[in-house]
Amino acid sequence: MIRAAGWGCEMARYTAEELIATIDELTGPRLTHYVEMRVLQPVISAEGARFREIDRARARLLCDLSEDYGLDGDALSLVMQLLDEAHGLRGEMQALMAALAEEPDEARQRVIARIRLARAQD
Amino acid sequence: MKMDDPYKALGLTKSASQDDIKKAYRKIAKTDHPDLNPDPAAAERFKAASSAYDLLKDPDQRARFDRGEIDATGQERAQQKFYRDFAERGDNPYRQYSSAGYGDFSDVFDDLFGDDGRRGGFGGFRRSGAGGQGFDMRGQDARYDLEVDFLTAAKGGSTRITLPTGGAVEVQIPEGASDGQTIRLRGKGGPGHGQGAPGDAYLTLHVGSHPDWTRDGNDVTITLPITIDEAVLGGKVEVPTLDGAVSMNLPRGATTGQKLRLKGKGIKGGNQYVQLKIVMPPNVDQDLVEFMEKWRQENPYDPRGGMGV
Repeated sequence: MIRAAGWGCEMARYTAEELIATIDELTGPRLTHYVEMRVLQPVISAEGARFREIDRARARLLCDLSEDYGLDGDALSLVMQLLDEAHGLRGEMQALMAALAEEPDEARQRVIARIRLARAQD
Repeated sequence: MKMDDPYKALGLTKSASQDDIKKAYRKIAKTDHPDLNPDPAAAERFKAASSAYDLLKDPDQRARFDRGEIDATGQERAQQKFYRDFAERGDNPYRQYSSAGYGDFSDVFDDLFGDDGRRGGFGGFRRSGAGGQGFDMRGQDARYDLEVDFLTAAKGGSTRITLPTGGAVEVQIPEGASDGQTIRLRGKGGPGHGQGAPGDAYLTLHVGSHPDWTRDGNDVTITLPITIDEAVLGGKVEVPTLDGAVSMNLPRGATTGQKLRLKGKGIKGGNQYVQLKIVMPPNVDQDLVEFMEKWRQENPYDPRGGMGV
């Protein structure tokens, strides 16, 4: 495993073999399949594909979804896309809430009132 | 989470078979997976079950635990990071690939959070499969991250890579390529449907770091080690530049951290700066010691003056 700079911090990089060694359920053919499906996208380099920590966590999740839910193909792509959306929105929502919490009381009350109004009109 | 009884974490007792253990873990993984179940209690159950399963899945290790030779906590692996821990962050690269779901309020979100994560309208995985018969549709564009070493990015050049979908391609890296810059490979994306042309591949460049070089736009800086005699006496030294070594005049009394400029030796007419670093000889011999002791008597100086020491 080498360490390379990028994405704002020092990050681990795994080769395909190293990645397979760290995840019980991951096999060579399964990894190739995920990459070909493009649900897993390693970083490309002149030395070949390199996997980041996020790829490792994602690979583990993909294995869980394949093992536990029998997901594959379009269904797996769809679930991953929805998860990216849900996680992304949750992250953004947290940022928004944190920002709101820093605002003075009256600003917060005004936002809350507007939200209630908007939801009531739905 | 403190785990005293790994069997309890899996809802089992000591008499459980290896098969029971695997099944129990899979069951909890299915209902309480932190990526699928946002409830914090579920995440705790999942974590406990994961560490329990890690301990008990190996029959030998399980036997050692049962005999009391190892404790449950001693075998917990380093805290596992879930995909969610990465995916909630603003820089999750998988959201670039998928342009996941900001449809109706994307403008507001771009305003609030910047559009770094959601550049362009590239569809990585398109949700509606418009694959009806007789359709001619252009193939999907594909996004990849490409890591480029420092000098290739500075000087430009070509690098041969293998796309995850198979094909090997020669990619031309332009001189002075910068981090985040995108290169388009026409026709290297997904295949078209019917008579449709294939999509394009977009490579986002990530420029690696270098132990000796740094870069600021088109200016580059190299850290150049020099000997103590070169520092004292000055003179000519060889300095690597992006295109071969050049000879540079070192001033007498040069010091660590001092920056000299090689005009126009950077990228596309930028400058190269040479930051000096005085390096001691590998061993300090008696001659040097004697000279320094004598020299110190007559030439005291205090580089730490004004630091309050």
